[in-house]
Amino acid sequence: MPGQKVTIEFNDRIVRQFMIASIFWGAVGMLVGVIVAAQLGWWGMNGKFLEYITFGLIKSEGVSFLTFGRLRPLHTNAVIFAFVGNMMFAGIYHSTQRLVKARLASDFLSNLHFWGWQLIIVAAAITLPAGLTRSKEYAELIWPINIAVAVIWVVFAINFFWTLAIRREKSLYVAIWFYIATIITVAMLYIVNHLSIPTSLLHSYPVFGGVQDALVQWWYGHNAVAFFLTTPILGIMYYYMPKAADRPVYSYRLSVVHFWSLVFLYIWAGPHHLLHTALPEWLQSLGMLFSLMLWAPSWGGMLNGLLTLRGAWDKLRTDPVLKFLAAGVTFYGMATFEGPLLSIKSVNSLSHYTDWTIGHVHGGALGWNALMAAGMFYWLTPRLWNTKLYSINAANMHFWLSLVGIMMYMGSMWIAGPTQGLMLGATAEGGTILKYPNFVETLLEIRPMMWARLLGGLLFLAGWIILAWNIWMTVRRGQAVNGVMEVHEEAHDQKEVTLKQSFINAPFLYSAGIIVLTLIWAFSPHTISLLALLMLALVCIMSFVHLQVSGKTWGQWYDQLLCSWFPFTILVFLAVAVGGVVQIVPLVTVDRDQVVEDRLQVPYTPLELAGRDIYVREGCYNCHSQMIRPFVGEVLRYGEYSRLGESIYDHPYQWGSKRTGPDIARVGGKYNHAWHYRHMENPRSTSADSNMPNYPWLLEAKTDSAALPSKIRVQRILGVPYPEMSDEQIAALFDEQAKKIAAELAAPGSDIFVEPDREIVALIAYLQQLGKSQPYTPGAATAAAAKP
Amino acid sequence: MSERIVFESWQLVFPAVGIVLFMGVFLWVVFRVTRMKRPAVDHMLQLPMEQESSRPVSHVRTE
Repeated sequence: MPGQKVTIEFNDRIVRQFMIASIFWGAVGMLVGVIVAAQLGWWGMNGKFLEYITFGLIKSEGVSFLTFGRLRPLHTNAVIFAFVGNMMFAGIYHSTQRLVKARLASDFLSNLHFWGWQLIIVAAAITLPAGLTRSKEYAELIWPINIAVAVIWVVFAINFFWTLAIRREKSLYVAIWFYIATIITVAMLYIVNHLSIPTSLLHSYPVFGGVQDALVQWWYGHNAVAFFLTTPILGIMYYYMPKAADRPVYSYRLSVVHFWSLVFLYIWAGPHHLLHTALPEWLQSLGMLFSLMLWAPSWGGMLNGLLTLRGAWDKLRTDPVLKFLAAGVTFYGMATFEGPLLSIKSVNSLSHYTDWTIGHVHGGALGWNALMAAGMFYWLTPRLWNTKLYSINAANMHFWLSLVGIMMYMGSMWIAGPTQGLMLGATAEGGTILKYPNFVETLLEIRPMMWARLLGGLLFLAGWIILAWNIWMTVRRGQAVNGVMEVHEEAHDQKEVTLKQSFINAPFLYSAGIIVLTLIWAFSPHTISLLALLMLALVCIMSFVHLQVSGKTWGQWYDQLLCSWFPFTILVFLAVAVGGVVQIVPLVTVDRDQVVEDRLQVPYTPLELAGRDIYVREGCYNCHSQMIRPFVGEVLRYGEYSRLGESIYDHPYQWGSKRTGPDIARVGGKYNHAWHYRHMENPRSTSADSNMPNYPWLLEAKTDSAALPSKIRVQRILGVPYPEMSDEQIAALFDEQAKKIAAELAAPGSDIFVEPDREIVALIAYLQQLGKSQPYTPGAATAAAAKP
Repeated sequence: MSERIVFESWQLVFPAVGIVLFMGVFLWVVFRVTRMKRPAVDHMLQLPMEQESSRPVSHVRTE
């Protein structure tokens, strides 16, 4: 029976704020993307260009905070967390208020969320170019910012769930499910992957190392794509697509299956980022199989979105909102087709470490995220400012610029990736020599594609600037308004089920019993196994009979559960947590001695550790991998394939995910010290046509040796077998090795003179020990000591 | 490459738990979805379609 009629005025101010922030940070993120694309084409974009544009007034061989290694993380973080993050918050806050018929629970929390998030973005924009990084992709931010992110995410969660608790609409629309999955899963992923022990206010080491760190990182990295860039945007699709098309979603039933399948499957697929590496084989296969299974729910969702336009396709000719949304969903389908394809091990052997992957992620980021964002913004702006869109023509122009830009980008990467992959793996004379032994040769081959990518990115950025201008002009002639809805307060005779009621329940208990008995049957000795099988059959019969007798009650239980946000959230958490537990627990609990294979890493000397932190600071992992796969081409080019034990003490791991330059897992001893010195000073002096930046500041800057005692203490806590050393001993070891390298650099006939305390010396020490592991003998793990 | 790591047998239980859970929940969801009542589906479909009006931000909030 309808209750009292009330008028709700939604908090649309926060939606406007997040939307404007998203447009601004989107432009910044794309601009940095264009810059890093230009850097790949021409090394001078790493700072030398300043000489040209100032006609020689500024003399620069390279600027530390403008190098690719530091700007690339800024680009990825800006696009993911600043652009898509703000867009997601705008969409979630706008649609949730309407779907649950309640104003956001707290204006204070909403404002705290908004300003806190912007502050985090500004902090990231300062620290990343400054070289303050954890070096884990999309998880580069330093530990104080990590804590701020976690706090603001909790603020967001409280505001969201509080709003659900005071809602006037009993049913939870599927978009709300996707938002719940986003909030819960991102929190879980972010916390686990950012577990670190600080060594100072601005530096920390992750608690996981080597293969464990790699697995945790890509469990996070893959699911950052899944639960930050996909599930919230799917929720947005399920709300805005019907609104824009003015017809309900094609199939609500399909959306339910889409949700549960996606949430269950996505979390398992992370290991596909580590195929053919030293990751255990069973995990690689698990990642590949679950990635392939993802085809079904992803395409189910895409078809559900596109078929929502049934009978409204003609509107695409005139309505830019529908153009963007339809194209966005189509790109979702393309990206989610390509993703599983790249997860097939044989395909991955070619695509991994190449631009093919880069093209794939931009199909998702530009095609899916940015087009959906544009569609949503063009739909929201007239409604949030109570006016018409300033220019339909400009929006159409934006659409076509974006589309052409994406196609140029992806097309060029589709050519560049396989080309470089094939060239790097090509052998001659019966597989005994490399066909293209010079890595730079493959780089030159794809350079035209790098310029094509830059042009595609520029077109996309131009389209985004048109959007910003169009929306600005719309805002100028409109007036900010808040949405208002009249609803009936429902009678409070419908209580949500409690957590206890949700789980102490026949359907749940029968399901749990069947799972447990199945496992006992599968993994127990013969007699117990037979007993478990009999009990399993009994429980199945009992549950069937029970269902027949009280099927209605079972259905009610499920329906009530879907209307009760708290137990529903717990269920979603269980669904996503199991995938993480399956992958991470075995690797974390396994005895380290068992996973090192026949090689064991020697802990870094103090100087090498300092050099490694410089390597991390400069973002070298963005272009150089340290993981040689067991392929003929790779072994011929880089040396023996990498063993798990060779990076077991690496906190963080440095396997990398892209080879713009060659793998350096075994570069130690391949060249002399002078070669490395010259290479860092000017890579083109040793490798003609290299696109690597110059690093002149490394020749001048002093190594931060004072931080080493604290760093080594933390390494010891993390299980790296350093002997107990006093600060003086650490300093003595540091000096001894540094002086030796400096003396070797200044050998007779050399024109190099460098002070031992310069960063280049530490970096050379690090590079020269890469690949210098020791043969493994049982029990040796704890005996290894840090000796220069 | 096929034996890159040694595990104790209990750790093999994790993939099995996950797959059994996934299949169980998937089948249950499909079963429930096929039994969803038409009025309930229609109600959910209409949720995003509800109309609203707007009010200038200077207006005093009623809630």
